[in-house]
Amino acid sequence: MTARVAKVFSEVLGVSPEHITDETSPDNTPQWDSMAAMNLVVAIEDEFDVRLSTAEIISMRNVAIVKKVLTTKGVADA
Amino acid sequence: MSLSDPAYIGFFAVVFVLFYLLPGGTARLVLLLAASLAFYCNLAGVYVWVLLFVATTAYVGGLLLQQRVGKGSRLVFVAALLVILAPLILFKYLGFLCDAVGITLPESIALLALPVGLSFFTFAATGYLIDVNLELLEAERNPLRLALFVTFFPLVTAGPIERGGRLLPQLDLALPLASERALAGLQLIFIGLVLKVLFADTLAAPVATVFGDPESSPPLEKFVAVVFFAFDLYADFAGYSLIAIGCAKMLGIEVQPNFRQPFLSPTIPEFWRTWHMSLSFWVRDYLFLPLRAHWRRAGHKGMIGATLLSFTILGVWHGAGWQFVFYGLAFGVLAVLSLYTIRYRDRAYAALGVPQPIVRIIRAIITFIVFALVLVLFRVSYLNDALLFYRDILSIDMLNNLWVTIKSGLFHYGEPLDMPVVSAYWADWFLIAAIVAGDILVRNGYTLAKCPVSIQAIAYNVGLALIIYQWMSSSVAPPFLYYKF
Amino acid sequence: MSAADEAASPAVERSRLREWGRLVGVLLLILSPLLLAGVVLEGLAWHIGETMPVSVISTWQDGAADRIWRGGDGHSFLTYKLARVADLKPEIIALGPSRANAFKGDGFAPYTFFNAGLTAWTFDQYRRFLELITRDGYAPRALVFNMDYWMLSSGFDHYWVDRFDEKPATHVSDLLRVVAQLREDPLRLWRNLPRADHVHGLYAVLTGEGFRADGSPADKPGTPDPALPAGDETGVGTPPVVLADHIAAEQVANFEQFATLAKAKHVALIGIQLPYYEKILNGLNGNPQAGIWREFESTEWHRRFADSGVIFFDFADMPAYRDKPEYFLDSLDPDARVVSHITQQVMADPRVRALLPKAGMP
Repeated sequence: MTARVAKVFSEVLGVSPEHITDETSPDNTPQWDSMAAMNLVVAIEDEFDVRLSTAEIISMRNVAIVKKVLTTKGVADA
Repeated sequence: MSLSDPAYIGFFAVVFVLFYLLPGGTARLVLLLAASLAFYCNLAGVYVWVLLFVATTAYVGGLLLQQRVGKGSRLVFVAALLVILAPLILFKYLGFLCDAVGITLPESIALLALPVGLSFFTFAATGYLIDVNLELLEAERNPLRLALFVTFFPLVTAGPIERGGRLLPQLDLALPLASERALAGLQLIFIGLVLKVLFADTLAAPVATVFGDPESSPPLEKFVAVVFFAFDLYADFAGYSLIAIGCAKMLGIEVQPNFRQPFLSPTIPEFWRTWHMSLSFWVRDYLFLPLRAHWRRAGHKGMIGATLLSFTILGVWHGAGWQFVFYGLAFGVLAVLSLYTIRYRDRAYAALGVPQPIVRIIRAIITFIVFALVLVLFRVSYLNDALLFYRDILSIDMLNNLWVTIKSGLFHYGEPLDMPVVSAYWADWFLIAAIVAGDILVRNGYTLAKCPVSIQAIAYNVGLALIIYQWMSSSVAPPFLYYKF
Repeated sequence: MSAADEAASPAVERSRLREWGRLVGVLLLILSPLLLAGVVLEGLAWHIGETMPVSVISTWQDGAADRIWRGGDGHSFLTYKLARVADLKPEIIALGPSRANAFKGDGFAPYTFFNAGLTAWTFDQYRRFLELITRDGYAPRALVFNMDYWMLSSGFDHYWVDRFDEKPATHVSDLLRVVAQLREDPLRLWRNLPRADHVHGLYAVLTGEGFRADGSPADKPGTPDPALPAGDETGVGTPPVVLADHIAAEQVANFEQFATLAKAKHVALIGIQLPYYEKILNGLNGNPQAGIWREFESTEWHRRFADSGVIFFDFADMPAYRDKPEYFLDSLDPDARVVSHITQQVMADPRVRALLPKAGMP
């Protein structure tokens, strides 16, 4: 899953996948601005075929939390 | 007492010493809580009950939400939010809301004063409740810890607005005295005092003159006052925040920074990521993101709507009045414009062959001027005055004034300037230059702490001497002129 | 180990003390220039007597006859004069504005004397002064005070409210004065510093002028300006030389309260209207707007003053001096010779002799 998440992030944010870590967040990544944030959500929903609730979206403040949320939604850790 | 008063410094020194004489844990918790409540009582008297009410609501609400999470806690959440926001709405917005709708309030309610720091600690407490509801945070079981989170005296009057997740874990308060940390905190307090007592108070004088009587000021004076006010507010607020952060640091508590050289920002959105960061990140995380998420499939309309609404609320947070609505809305519009046009502007600069550093400088200057102009709404006594400012500054007269000033200043040619504020306060431009230079140095890693110790020592001695002199001067009445009889 | 044990272990204790030591040590070291400057400033301010409390000044001034003091910002010398009176407990006190300055002790010998001039301007201030000096049971035998017509004009007391200040000067304001002098003209202070062994107070150290031990002013020697009495800024219509149609009832009430208090404390009241230069007299006599002057000069009112227990002397118009500028410092202040002459006359008056029989005896 980590690789797929990194791919989505890298495509939406225009950052190379090696720079995407668990700590990546809007506070330390200038490309993750308000415009990109929702593009990320839509891209993740489309990539993993899930529907995220508002609460889940707000909580996804860094990559680590994104992966945690996806896990709880049943996405396999492949 | 404000954080820049000598009385507060004395109070803090006592609390600091007692803190490290006490063993870690509950004893220190009680000390800080008692100090915070005493501090707030001294500041706002009977309104300490409002502070306690908000803290209690946060504590009880948090526990209730924790219990009911997943089991239809929506009702509890909305109820808790309403209760915790009730004092803010009552004390701050009720008058404005009723005026807007045409209702007259009974005098006893209309004349209620605003409890100090209400907007700040209410947002801190509200953020905590939202985090618990989103399961980002475990509810705090220890009432003393939660009470301290809401009432912590360095932060209670003017922030930074902290998150429960960042502050509560630090309230073990078990760290022993570390002289390094204490000295680092003192450095921050020193810089904060320099900014607030020396810079801000000096820059404030010409601002009051012009904003107090806008009709009689020529356009250039208005412009000067607008620029001075932006720097005055920055020095005042950033200084105050540094004192708060420094005090917390001395007690072993790390608090997030509130300003990150905002006037170096190249765009309005970037500006709001560096100015009053604790507030703008709060609005981003608790208002903008939920709205955005809700409207994520609405494309651009969703983006624009969320941005405008969030910024408007950010504006209104600052005060109850139409000028604050416009203040927020203006930034919202500007942010949207900036986001949607940045690509074209980048291409334009590239096409013109302007080197990147110059682009950055131009952008920073434009962003600053835009901010300073919108800030006029924040400062004027009447909305109409703002229009006077805009009309004058963006007029031909302004260019004329500028030309006359340049002639007189550079070439000593022409009639004497009829702009008392411009002439009298020309020296203050050095202060502004110092602030900008300081910010550029800090942005590039050259902080005071990195200077050689001898330079630092000179800075501390001279700075403190000036601060103490300023404190002494403001405590005595103006001097008497000798009479002979 | 439990947290409490851990906290109390000797190693932890030592490191705690070490951290405290380091913190305090670094602060003292880095801020030593500032602390040193502070010590020097306080030392200097104390050396010139500017930060000394008035009680300390008073004791110091008793130490030798030539000691002079004048400090503060000059708006009120009340606390200083009160401290002197408390120390000296004089038998006769001269009280009033600058017009009382010229009274000297020789004229009142062998009674002990203190000049509380430049201290009080109005009857309610006179009353308050008397209250303050008689708080602890002491009372002078007699109070010689300026009694000028204008003191009975309506609203007169409002002009002088800030000149009668019971609050002692704060240490901060005293220090700031010294700092201001160091900023403006440190060399002047440096040059005059040797004076500080017998002169205290910033103003006195800088100028050599101040109050002597007996309360009278020690002004710079020099010939008074002969053009001043005729050409000074004072004039009829300018306070204190106010114009009014009548004596004001509320000021008479203040006067009566003052007289009643003096009676209760067994203090004889001797009120004197000292001479005016002819510029003032000509402006008042025959002036249709100076009704208050006519009333004050009338026998009817003089009798009322006497009935209240005040021995009143009206020397406003002295033919021997009125047109001679050499006898006046300015149009309102007759010089020491004139006042000495007046004092002789007053002390020789039978009413005064009855109260102060030893006057004139060696």
